[in-house]
Amino acid sequence: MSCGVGGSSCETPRRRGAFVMLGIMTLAFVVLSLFSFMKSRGQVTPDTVSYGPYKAEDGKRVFQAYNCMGCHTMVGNGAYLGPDLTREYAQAGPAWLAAFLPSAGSWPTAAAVRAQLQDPVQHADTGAATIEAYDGKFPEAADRVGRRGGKPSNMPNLPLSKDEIGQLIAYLKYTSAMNTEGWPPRVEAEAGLDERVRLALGVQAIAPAAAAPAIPPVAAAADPAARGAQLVKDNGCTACHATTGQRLVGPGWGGLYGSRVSLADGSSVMADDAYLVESIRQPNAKIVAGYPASVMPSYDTLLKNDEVDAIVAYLHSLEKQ
Amino acid sequence: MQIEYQTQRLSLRFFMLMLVLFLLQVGYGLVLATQHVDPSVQAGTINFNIARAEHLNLGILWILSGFIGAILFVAPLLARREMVAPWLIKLLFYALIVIAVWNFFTLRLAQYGIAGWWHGQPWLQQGLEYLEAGRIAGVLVLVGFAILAYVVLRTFPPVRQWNEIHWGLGLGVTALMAVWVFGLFYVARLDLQEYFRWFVVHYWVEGVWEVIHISLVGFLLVLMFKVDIKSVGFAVFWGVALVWLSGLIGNAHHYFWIGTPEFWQFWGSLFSALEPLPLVFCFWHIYLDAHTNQRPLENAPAFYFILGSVVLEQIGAGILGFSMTFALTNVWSHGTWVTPGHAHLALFGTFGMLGIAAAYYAVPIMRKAPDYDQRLGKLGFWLVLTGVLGLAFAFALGGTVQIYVYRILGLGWFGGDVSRAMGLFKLLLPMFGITFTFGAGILAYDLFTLGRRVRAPAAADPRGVLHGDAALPRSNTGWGRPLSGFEAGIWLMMMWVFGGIITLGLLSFNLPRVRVLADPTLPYLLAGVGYPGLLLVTLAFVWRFLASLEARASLPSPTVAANVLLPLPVRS
Amino acid sequence: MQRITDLTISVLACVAAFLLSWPFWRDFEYWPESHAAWLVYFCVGFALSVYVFYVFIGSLRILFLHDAAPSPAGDDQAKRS
Repeated sequence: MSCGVGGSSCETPRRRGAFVMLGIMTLAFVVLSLFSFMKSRGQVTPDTVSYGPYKAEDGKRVFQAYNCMGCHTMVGNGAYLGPDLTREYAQAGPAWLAAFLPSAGSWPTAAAVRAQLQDPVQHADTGAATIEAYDGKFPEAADRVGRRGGKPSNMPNLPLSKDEIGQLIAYLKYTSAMNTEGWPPRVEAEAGLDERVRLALGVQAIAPAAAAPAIPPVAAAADPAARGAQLVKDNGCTACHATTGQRLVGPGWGGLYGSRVSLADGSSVMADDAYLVESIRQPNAKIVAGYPASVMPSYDTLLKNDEVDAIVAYLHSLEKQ
Repeated sequence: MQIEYQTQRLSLRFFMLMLVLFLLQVGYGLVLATQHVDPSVQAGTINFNIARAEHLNLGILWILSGFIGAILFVAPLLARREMVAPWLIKLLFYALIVIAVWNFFTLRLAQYGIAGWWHGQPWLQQGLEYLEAGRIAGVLVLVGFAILAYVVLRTFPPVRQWNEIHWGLGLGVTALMAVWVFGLFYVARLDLQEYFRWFVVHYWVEGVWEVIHISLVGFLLVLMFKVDIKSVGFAVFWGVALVWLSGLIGNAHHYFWIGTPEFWQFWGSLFSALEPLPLVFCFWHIYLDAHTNQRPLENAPAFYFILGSVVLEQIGAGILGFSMTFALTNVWSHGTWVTPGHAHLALFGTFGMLGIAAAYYAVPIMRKAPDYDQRLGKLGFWLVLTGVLGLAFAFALGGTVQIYVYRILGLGWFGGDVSRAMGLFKLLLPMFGITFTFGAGILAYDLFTLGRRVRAPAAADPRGVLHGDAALPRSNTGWGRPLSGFEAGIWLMMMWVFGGIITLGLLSFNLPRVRVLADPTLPYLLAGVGYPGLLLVTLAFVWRFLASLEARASLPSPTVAANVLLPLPVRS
Repeated sequence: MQRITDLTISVLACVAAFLLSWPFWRDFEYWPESHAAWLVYFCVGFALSVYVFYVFIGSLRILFLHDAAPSPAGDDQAKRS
């Protein structure tokens, strides 16, 4: 008799056996799944993680709302245009992220990261008050600033609010704390950075970039507007502000000086020197209509009086285009 | 062959919808390939993640559309009566269009961070890979699946008269709906969210689509080669059984690194290593059915695509899947370009090609053009096959470079090193993408206008060139000689040898020489031999297989005896 | 005889798969209290995979037998030993 036609004498028990085995497998799968999410597993859960007032659970919603997984991977799943984000918090830390996320179109400079160090939430979270302490804690942040600070990135600017940024940082803090069982694999290559770049690209690409750290040069002091232009570059201001009238993350600067600015509270103000200085030192004092509050950090303690004056002088020179 | 039941004609609109969605998906794919080369293209207008969400979403929708078309075409034949409730099927058609249009608008909202949170659920879009659509679309899809399951199950005869193909399709459409339910809840924990996301994605592909695929391929073979339905039933039963026996626990290969415990790494590797078995089984099934009876190929494009489906399933899902399924290799391939090489072959190859095959089988019958010009279909097949193999090649080799730079050297994206190192392979993507697009355009044009174009009169075509049944010097020797089982086995083994080389290449990243001393020679060498070798062997094998079929003597085609199609009860 | 051959092939194939899957790079940190549980886990996994492979070989053989049969639906050929 043929085995293989339903109902024949040896086919029926074979088929029955397959069903029994499938049943056993289903049972085993369910049991293993239950074991996977028990408390004794010791996996971190998002309800236990927060970054200052921001909760990781909220951050996950922000992460999904912007479909971050459509360009990045998270625990390795997602798209492959950008880097994996699982360990992003552990690598770059909250200040780098806070400096990067509002103006993702360009890489944060050292000054932009330094501006975020004043944030009490950041301070409470990492305990780092100076850029040296921060870089010591998150060496990769220093690498990134050194190699790419101020250059354009491949990511578009996203309309993230201040709260959403905090929540995203909280979420990345949660994923960094997760036990992902050995992934991503630890880098064990012994070569130094230069050598590794040479291996990857076959060129000595890194030396000039690393040799030019973002120290404000003093040579241009003679002309305040030129000095202001240099300061604007070093501080990474143009990550958010266009030198034309165009809106990036914040308002554009072209023709701003001397114009009338409508504010979020319905009033309007003349953009004179006092207004410009205040907007640099206390950006939240007057919010321009149509822009979110608290996105720009305060540069009150980061810039000296003459530096602020130089930047204002530079702004005078920018005409509407 | 003619239409036997009027409701079979309902499938036509689904095939046409499938082609429209397919073309749109290919268009988004071209955008993505271009943005990989230069991310500033269209940034701010169509961000990469929006285009990718559309690309994945349309991919699922057109594959489903093809499945529905194929199921609607065969269900009346299987049931030996008209479909019940044709109005529901028409409703399903419009629902599919509404879902596609709705998603077009809602997926864009990710650019503004709008998910439509209400009662803890994202109603507009939810930003999860493959399940990007929001809850509103999700519920609509569920309703659509319910309609499909209802119509198919009500049309089928009583359960006691079902054969294996009935069971396969019946279980398939039911499980399609059941599995989808797991994707309809927001989960706050990342590990649990990924657990359930793979529940939907893996079990859809591995558990449900595969079952529908096996059943449809089986039945199309019955229709095309007049194979005995009982032996196809046997193949369908064990194909499905093996899919589930390996794939049920094989799902664990998605649970290696998402935060679930390490014990998954062992069973996940072991059982998903068995997942190619049903595919090998299916490969032999189609070989045997196509080769034992020496009938000539009446509808070449339809069989071309069935063969493409089974072969790409073998190398995309089977071999490339195998190479990256062990925790030891997956730790490297995971989260890199190596994965989409596998995904494109497995999804478009296996399921997309089946939908196109079904369309090529059914459309000429419905348009009453059995002697249609088959050259365009064949040309389209070769273009999409080359295109998709090329894409897989670019992804796989680009991914190998990516692993080395990103994971071995530890150079992140933030230095700009990874994409620079991958540059050459990034450039290959749009190139093969354009090849693929040409093929897709030709196929769509051919199927849209099939039976409506001016036909060359038969007298002007004495050798039957137009109808594809006469390759010019039709030789039964050399490349066109009959393909013996032994030779097919050699071809299959060659594919697996290259698969083994690819697997060793991924394994070699674990060696201290590569990992610590950062010497990429071995993995680059193995990948450089393995991937091109595998893809070229595949191309050559498909060519050889089809040449042997084309060379068959052109016999007068016997009319289908209706009783061949009769579903025979499994147990009487 | 047939069964023994099939079983041997299955066991061999699964030993290969087992070795590739063996989590020797891991530290068994979950279920640390019980190495017995891990042992059971390995054994059950191995046994199940041998079964799946065995079934695969059997089904493939019958597939070829069907094919070799002159009348596919015939009832009295291809008797398995």
